Amino acid sequence: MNKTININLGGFFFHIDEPAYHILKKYLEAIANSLSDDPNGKDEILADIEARISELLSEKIQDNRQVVNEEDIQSIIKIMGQPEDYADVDEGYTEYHSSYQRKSTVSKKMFRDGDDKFLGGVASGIGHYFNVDAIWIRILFILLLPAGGFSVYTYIILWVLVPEAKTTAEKLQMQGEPVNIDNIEKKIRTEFENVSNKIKNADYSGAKSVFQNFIDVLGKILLRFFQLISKFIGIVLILLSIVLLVAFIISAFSFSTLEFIGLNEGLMSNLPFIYQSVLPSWLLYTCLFVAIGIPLSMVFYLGTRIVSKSVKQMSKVVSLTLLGIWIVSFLILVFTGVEYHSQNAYNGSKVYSNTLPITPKDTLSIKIINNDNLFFQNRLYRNNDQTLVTSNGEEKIYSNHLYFDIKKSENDSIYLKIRKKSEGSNHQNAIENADAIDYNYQLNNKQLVLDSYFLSPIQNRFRNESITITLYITNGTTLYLNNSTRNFINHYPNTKGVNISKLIDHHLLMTPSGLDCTDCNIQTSNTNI
Amino acid sequence: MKIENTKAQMRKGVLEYCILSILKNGDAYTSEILSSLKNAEMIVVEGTIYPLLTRLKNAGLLSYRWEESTSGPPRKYYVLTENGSIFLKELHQTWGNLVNAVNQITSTKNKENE
Repeated sequence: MNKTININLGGFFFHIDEPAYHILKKYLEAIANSLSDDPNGKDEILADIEARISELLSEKIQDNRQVVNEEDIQSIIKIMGQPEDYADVDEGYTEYHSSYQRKSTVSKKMFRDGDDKFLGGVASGIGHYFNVDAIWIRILFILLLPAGGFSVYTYIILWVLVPEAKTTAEKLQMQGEPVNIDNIEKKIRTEFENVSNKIKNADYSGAKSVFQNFIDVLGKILLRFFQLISKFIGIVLILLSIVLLVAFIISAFSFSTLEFIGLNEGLMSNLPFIYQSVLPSWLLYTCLFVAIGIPLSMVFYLGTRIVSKSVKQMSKVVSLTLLGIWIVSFLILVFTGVEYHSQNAYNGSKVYSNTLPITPKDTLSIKIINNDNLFFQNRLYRNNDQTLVTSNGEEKIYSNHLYFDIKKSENDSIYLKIRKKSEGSNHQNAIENADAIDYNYQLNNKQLVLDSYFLSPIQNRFRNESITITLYITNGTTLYLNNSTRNFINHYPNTKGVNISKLIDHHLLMTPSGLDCTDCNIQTSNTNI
Repeated sequence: MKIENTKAQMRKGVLEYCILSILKNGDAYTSEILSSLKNAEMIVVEGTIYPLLTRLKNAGLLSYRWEESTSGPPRKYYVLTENGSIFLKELHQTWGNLVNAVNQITSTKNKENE
């Protein structure tokens, strides 16, 4: 007596008894397996095959018999052929070269062996995988026990992560045997024999089974516990990656929109390498996006995989493609980083020396002014900040990185030295970059008017550029430092022995012993106290 | 090396040619194609044919339509496309040449043996 099952095969309705149903099901699964090289046509081919099988079956069931039995299925398999016969004919030409190889390289999968287990079947699973008797793996686990509980952790982790071989196909994969009808049948038969043997020997194994049951229950509780923990970890991973992804996408969008509408001043201190690279900035932004986005998406995907078993494993093609894209963009970024560092590896400066048409007895007043039309500054002082400005329709970097020095002239002339400093990929390049700095001053009727800023091309933004103005004056020349120089001037020794910033807005005479303030009453009294 | 393998490969090589030839005489559904091939002992098991039909269809040499049948669900009728006819013509020529060549070789061998 057999149970029957109702099936719909290719649009026909059949009663089929249980053993026959299992054989048919395994058969169709095996066909699907052997067609897996051809993912496009697979479903269509399977539908055709099902239709044909149903046709053959309905020809067979024309007598009074109503139920499809094992014999019918076997004869149909005889007509249709073994699953191997379904492999595409293309392979036919090379079949007997590859068929032997295929047997030896049948993909083995790690499963826990539920039929041969002491705790969770981990050891016997490993044994199957490496073709070693499970007892050696068990001995290894026990020997490693004193080593800081390492084997305990390993065992528990493997117990949780490695699935148990449940279906016949999985059991065959575990043992590294190809999944085909013959093997499935063989396997089912030996399993059946095992079960009947066990029943026969039930009396002997009774004592052990109590212990085994206890272990099984304990194992199930542990397993459940770790599954819960792993679900929790999965949820944390999902939430984390979503937050990061959203933040990342928003920031990426704001970057690119800022870039588009030209409001990228805020970016000036960010992502320096992007502005100096030989590669276009859109490519670098894309790479940055990919290099961060792909790992984040993978974390998200991992989380969903942990939480839900129904999320499918990523196909090899997809994962390899993603990996490839990631590696490429990572390499581009590394290249850009190296490029950026080598870009600024050398310092260089360009010095201009201009004699000022001033006689030593004159009084030279010095003023530092800003161009408020370019960039308004409430308070002028030396600093390293940079701002994007438009000068004569061209975008330039505006900087107040200006040093002002006073020195004694070695000859009889009064002159100004302007030293422009920059960096570059080599010395020559650094000098060229320094030369590209745009700096101006004016001499109006014995008043030296220095610009408080310099302009530089955008691509030299991160080269740590600066300007040093050195005024060389002779003995007997009087200087008058305007208040505006206060925040730029470097110290110079003076007869009052105070910081030069205290001598601003006074007349200073250059003497052999330093600058002498000729109208500083307060300073004198200060030094007396 | 098994004789069965070699035989099967010989048959497989010309299977596409045979299928296209069958359809040249008129549209047919899978079972009809199968029975012609089986009668001629071109195939031993039916399984071989399904991936092949799908491949020919995907290559644009065949197309199919569904036709109602009196005894069950609709049937898939395969049709030779224009590309298929051109393909078939070329195969036909190649086959002719091949038969001549093989005949020539095997007959000289036979004479030598005699």
